[in-house]
Amino acid sequence: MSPVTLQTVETPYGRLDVDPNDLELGELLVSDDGVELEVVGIDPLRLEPAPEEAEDWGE
Amino acid sequence: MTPVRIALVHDRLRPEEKMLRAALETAGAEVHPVYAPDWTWDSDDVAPEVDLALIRTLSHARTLALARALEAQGVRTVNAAHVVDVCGDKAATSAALAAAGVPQPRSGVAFSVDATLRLCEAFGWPVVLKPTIGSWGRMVARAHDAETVEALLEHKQVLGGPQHQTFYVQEHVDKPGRDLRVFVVGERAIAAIARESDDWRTNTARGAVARGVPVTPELEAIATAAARAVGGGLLAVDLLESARGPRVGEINHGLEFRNSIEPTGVDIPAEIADWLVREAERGRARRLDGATPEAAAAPDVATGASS
Repeated sequence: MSPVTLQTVETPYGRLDVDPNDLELGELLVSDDGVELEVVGIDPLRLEPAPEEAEDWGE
Repeated sequence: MTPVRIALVHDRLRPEEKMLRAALETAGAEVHPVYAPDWTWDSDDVAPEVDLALIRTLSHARTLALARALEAQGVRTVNAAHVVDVCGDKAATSAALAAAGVPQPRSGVAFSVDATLRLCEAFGWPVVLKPTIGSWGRMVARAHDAETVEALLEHKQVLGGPQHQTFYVQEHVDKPGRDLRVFVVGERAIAAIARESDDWRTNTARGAVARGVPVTPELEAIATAAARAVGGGLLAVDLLESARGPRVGEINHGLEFRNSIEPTGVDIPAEIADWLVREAERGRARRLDGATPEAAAAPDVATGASS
């Protein structure tokens, strides 16, 4: 198990602390401004505002 | 024997996808996560070297496109494209249930306000209007009179896209403050919950509380019959308890189960993973026996299993 190494990431949508060793594509994170961000790239780390719930989403 | 290779195709990573990945690895599968927004399909592509693709994307349209493309490459998908197609469209689901003689609330489709009102009168008030495509109880409305139906349909006609021009109506079932959900994995009903709510819509996405209930022979029979009617696979069958017995309300192809493990006491991801590994092994064996990729990937219409 790799040690937790929190890193502060600044984004246009707020700041958040992440463990870059424990991120996965598609994961949702919430910034300190309360914005939901989706991990869309790992190396380098890219975060984008999570898509809004669409009409055909669901089970 | 080398482990089966299973692609886990996803976009937003929910707890379900994480639980399924862990369970698949525990079951001995080699899991290959595929992030759908990065994925492409090229008609000249060779088939990916996987024995099965579990598609867990959130959007119905995206899931269907993925299943069709992967099947075209000879990959067995769960669920199969035709199952996604039918379950993702409530009118298609109702048609499949009717063709198979599976009990459902009286359901109908119309294309004009007048024709829809004739259906409503035939069903008796109140009625339930649902979008043909959609989930989590969104845009589901209960209408007690013609005036309300006319207003709802006017909104659909003016503001909705093409899919909203097909008006889907169901009789209202006066359920006892809950509905039932049965999780069907292949040919087995592995667990069931009651979804209890003060709201007439009993989706857990709307705050309904899940409570485990036994899978009785009656529930198992209707849930597995419903699953077979739409092509089978990995499905959540929603049942409404009516005076005439249980009726199938809808069938979900992208089931969520995070809130159902504890109340049922069933390790749902483990059950799913074990079945997926068996399906992947069967698909691989058929390919090695010389079946065409298409034949190996093609689901059996009756059971949902690969032919």
